[in-house]
Amino acid sequence: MKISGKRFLGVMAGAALGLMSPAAFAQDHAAPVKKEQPAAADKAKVGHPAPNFELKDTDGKIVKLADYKGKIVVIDWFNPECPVCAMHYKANTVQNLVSKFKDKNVVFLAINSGAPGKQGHGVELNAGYKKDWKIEFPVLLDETGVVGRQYGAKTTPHCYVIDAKGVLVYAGAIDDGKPGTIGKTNYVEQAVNQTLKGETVSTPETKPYGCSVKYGAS
Amino acid sequence: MLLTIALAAMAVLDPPPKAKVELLSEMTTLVAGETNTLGLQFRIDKEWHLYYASQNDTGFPPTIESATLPEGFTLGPIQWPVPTRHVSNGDLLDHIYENEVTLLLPVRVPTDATGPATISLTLDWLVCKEVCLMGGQTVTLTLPVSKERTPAEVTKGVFARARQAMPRPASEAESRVGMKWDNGRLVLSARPPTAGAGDGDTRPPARVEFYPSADSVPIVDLLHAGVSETGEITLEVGDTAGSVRGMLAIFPKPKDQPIVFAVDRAVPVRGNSEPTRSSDQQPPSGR
Repeated sequence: MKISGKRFLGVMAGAALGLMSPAAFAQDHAAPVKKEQPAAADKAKVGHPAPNFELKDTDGKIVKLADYKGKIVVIDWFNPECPVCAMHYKANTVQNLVSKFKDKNVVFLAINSGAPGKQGHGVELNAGYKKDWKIEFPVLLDETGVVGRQYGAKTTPHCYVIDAKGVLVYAGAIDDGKPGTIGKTNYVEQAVNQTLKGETVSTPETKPYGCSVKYGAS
Repeated sequence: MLLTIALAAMAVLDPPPKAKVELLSEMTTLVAGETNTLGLQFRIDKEWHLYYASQNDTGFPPTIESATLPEGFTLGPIQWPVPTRHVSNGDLLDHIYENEVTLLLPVRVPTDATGPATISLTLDWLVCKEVCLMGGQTVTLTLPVSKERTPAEVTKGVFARARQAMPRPASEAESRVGMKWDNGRLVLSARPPTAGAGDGDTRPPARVEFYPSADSVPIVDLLHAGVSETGEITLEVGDTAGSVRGMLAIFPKPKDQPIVFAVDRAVPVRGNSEPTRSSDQQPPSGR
């Protein structure tokens, strides 16, 4: 029997934190470097090359997917104020994967596609959670939602694994859990392990679970 | 400083739940040797919603995480009422419930059961407005076990509303909905009421929607395929074996309450030959 649902107090505290940093809304840190809209053909699809993107992280540093050619890239769609996302970071689900694949040429990225004014948006807020949750990889801000829409990111979390050749090999849930319950099988770990061994990913697509990505109007 | 104190005070309080559930019985007792109907009545705060167990892009439906039942009792499956189609920014499609919703839960009670019997369920769910909260509750019901069925006055209204909110059985769809397989696609066409039975209005309904259930084969591009203003819905399914299951909602006029039918159609088995062969276009069973 699985452990029953846990509720998190952090949600309200987090919301209050959000109110404390309204200045973050005015900053242009989170703006994407390029304004080009991807063509429909550029949509991410498992088995096809993952669309490139350029986004700024919480330090204002530009991160390009293309810079990681030759490495396996794991992307986790992120909203620190979504309780399902928070559940996994508080339980170190993603952080543990980082440790597990240390020295294996695996890169982790979190992307927040929340729009200004929406829950979980803002440079300071995301930087704060990154520190609190000891996230040792870039948290990228995609406030126009261009990259999120391109990847078809629906929930937080929603995970993607890209192989060393730049091909998307996994898209879906982080694990077979549900809100309130960490899963037993971590699909991301499985996909990375199989990719490292040169095997085909056995479960290339799953249905993600979590809060909706807080997109703005397109 | 004040804000910090307020924050600290808030942090120790559980956020007020946005949805609450009660476990109700339709009868005053649990009837031995029968399948009894219990209700999980959710009251949801204004503007918040729960999720139908469907092909949703986000969220998570109410789930029975654990159940404690007397020996020999069996539960389920949950019967889901008609949801509402909900599209949010980013073309995210969900099927939701607002305000109040009662899920019906069959409980099979063995013939030799004696009372009183206690049923205890732990549920959890995701409740969202735009932001989401995880919710959960344990509900318990103790009832005598008897041989006779005596409807409970106090829950009569709730169960009447709950049944009203369920789709009509698939067997009743025959006269109103045409269902046929066409080259790997299930075409559902809402027919006008038959002559004599209706008001002679032969125009197609204002809108038709399809809400797949969780046990349906996945529908391709449900965002667009799941709604139509032509009176006809075409559902493309992948190569998965199984059935198209869910509900077809017919809205005679845009603001009308829909007439909803259950849909359950097995995907025709494709041979090794071309998918266009004629047998693929036949319904899986006789009409």
